[in-house]
Amino acid sequence: MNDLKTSEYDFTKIPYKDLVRVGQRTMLYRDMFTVSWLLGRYCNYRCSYCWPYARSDTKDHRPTPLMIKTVDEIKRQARERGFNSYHFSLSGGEPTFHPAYIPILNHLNDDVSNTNYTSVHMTSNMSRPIKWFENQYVPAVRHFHRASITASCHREHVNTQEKIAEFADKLELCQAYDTQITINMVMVPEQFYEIYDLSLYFHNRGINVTLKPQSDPTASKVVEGYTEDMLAKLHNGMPQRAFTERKAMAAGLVQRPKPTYNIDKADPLRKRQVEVDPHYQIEFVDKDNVLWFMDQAERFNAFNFNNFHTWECSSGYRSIIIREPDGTIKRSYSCSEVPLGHIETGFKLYDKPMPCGGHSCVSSADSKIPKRAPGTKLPLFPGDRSYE
Amino acid sequence: MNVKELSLRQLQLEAARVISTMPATNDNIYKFNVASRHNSQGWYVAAIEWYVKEYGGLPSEVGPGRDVEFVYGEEE
Repeated sequence: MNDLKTSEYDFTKIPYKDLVRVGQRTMLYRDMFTVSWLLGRYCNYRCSYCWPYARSDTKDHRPTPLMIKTVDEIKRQARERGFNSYHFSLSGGEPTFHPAYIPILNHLNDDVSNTNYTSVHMTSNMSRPIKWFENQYVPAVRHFHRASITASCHREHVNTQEKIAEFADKLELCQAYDTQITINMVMVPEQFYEIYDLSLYFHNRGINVTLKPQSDPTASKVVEGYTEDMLAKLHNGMPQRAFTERKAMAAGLVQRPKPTYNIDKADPLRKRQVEVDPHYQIEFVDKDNVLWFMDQAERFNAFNFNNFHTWECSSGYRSIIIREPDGTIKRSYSCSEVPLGHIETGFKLYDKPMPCGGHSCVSSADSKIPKRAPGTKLPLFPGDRSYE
Repeated sequence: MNVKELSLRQLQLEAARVISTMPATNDNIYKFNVASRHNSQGWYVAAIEWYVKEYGGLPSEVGPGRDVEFVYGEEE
């Protein structure tokens, strides 16, 4: 692999119009239930470009006992439907400022041995001091099967070389403790190469970077203004690499438990992909039953691949989102359906995969959830026969 | 009654009654987003004030909001 910053797997070759099944591999082949939980909108940063309702100056944190009870209810309903592997993705606002943040992690920790797999993720601006990561975050996540961070590098705050280096230092500390890291970079066309140079700095320090195209104000498509060279970088630039694995192995600080779910190795599609790099998280099947792969769902928007209207989607059955400040519990962020419930009043998961009523599935938290085109007779999770 | 004088927890619970008694689709609650830039507590106020206009009083006192039950309770 000579050029680590460019994918050797050409994502432009994927026949997007002919795809009939899409999904994250850990969800297609494991009993994985995912929760994307926006804990609150409060954020200590005030970035000029942040959407008005994406962040809040005022606190909106709900009581810790309610959050803990919600975790338990999610697991109860998931287990009722046969799912006992979990991925909790906690975001905000800035989630590390929620008083329940560490208690939620500790509560999940207490139940790890009763699950087949537990993974925790957070999206953070990494503004907490490095000591907080060392003394609070790392101890709280070291016993999970997997821990990961999407670090948002906000250049209005991380605006000197010293702050940039400190930002990377925190991420490298977490990598040494076997926490997967990627830095989100929104590649604004007018500042594309300046941001790309900064991305290369992180990449050269052994930290994965996700180059995200800027979305239009309705968050339904990519903005105009990208040149061919820019689009090429968005399409195939900086694929996810095993940086964390190498650093964690060298440091030897964390021994993570092994998943206990028995993957069906006889699954005909699974059998065909044993050689695929585990960092290729997304699997596609086209109408001729050919398999295709992508590193992460964040790249879908770069190809304007996000309209799954009428597809049958397993969100709401084996995944939910919880959103603030409204407190709604929904199948996905982009979905136009009435919510499944409310964090204060309870919710009920669907009893089977349901058709997509939306038109634009722009959040990767939504688009990665396994789904299939109408009439496709392929499972969305192990043992799924709901297409019959 | 001044909605803005309610505590954070009261705002959350009153707003929860609002959201739980309307078809809370993205389109339907967008009006509360517009009314509260960078201000979650302003969002709760916008939702409650909309309800007060619809039903003539606080969700805990008037209309369908009164029948909403909470899973954890109303403690702070």
